[in-house]
Amino acid sequence: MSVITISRGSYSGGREVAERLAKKLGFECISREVILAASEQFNIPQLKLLEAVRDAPSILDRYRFGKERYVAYVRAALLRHVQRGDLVYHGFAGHFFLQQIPFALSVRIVADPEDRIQEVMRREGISAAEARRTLERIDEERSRWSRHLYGIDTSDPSLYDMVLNLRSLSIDDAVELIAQSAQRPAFRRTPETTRILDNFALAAQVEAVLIAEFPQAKASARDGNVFVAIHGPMGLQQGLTDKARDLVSFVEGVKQVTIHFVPLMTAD
Amino acid sequence: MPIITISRGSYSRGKEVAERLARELGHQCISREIILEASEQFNIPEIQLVHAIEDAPSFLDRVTRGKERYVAYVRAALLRRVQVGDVVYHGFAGHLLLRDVPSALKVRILARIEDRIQEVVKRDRVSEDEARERIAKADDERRKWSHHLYRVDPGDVSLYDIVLRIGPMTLDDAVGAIALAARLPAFQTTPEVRKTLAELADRADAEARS
Repeated sequence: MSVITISRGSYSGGREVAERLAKKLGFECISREVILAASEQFNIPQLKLLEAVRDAPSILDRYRFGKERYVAYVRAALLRHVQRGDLVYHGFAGHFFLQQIPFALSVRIVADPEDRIQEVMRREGISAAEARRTLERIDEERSRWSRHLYGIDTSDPSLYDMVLNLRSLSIDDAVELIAQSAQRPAFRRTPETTRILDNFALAAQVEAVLIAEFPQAKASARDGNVFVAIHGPMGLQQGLTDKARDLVSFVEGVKQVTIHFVPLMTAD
Repeated sequence: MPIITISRGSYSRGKEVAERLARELGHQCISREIILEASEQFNIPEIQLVHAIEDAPSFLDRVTRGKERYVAYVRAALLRRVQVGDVVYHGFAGHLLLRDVPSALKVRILARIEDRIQEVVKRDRVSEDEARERIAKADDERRKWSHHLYRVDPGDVSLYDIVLRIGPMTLDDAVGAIALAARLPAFQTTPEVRKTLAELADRADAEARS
């Protein structure tokens, strides 16, 4: 069948939509599980990964490759999940991670601002004014990290196939609408789109194993044939190429590797 | 059945969605006709009304608030119109004109920017850069317009019940989704809604004639 990503503001009711939808369709429903899978696969403490994909970027991070690294791990882990079966993903930035997957249905759930404030008050036991401030802070942080990592604002409606407003729609209405769309041919797996997924998933795995050593490495894959571009100083071409080839050769599903070395220019 | 408004970004194929939807539901599909009705109802030359509501606000408009009166005519005509039959309205600003009617199903149709550019290239036979500029200009005008009259940005998703993006989702998929939503209890024109509509129409009439 398919994969459905649910993007949601916090305290918006989006989680309930995701859970009921998965139940209705018999899909797996995941959010943080992806983080766990990534942390096991790439041997990174889960907490660090969580911070990396969630928190707004600090000034320091703009000069390191910290967050990009973790995002590469999460992307690789999520694509693996999608390869294994049908799912509803309501974790961080699903529409970004899966934007090249042709059959992914991306949905955003929005709620009435007043309803969100009520929800924060109820769950956290705080005043309306505090709840308002909390939401402003959370929204601002999320918007900052998505701009930082992807140059896009998560609240931009043109990123999604559908945006549903829970002010007028009930959670069950939203579930019904998403389930119907998920059954349309455009959002079903076909042999052709499965192949596209496999290619992207393999390229993501390759980038994830390379990123610690080669932060700017870019990979593409076609039926097990992998093409990788890496950067480095001219004199180190042989050594770096061998190193990259070694790392990539361990990735499951790789049949053949081509490394393209891009020499870094030094200032005159 | 509900009243349905379709707001559409320029070059986003929303008109086609509206027409197919109306056919499927057996609704009347209306857009600019409402201006003609308003011009007859309030005895204003149609051309004057068209310019007043479609052109971006001029400096003079901002000072005199001249546009508001014309919008009131159209609003009154639309509120009259939706009482006498089921409609899909895809003319100007349906979601704003019917903002006080919670049971109206307010839909926005978008398209991916790449697709919009291709649409303009094909339709107007211009380069991609030129197409991009035209889209930006059209979007900007609508934004100004909406800000001037209603102080809201048409891209604000909270104005709509459903936003659908044409692309992987086909026109028929979109029609199917809206038709399904149209059957939900929240959007039915109940006797109570009819009463509210009548009151709103009377008030809009009075406002337009004042």
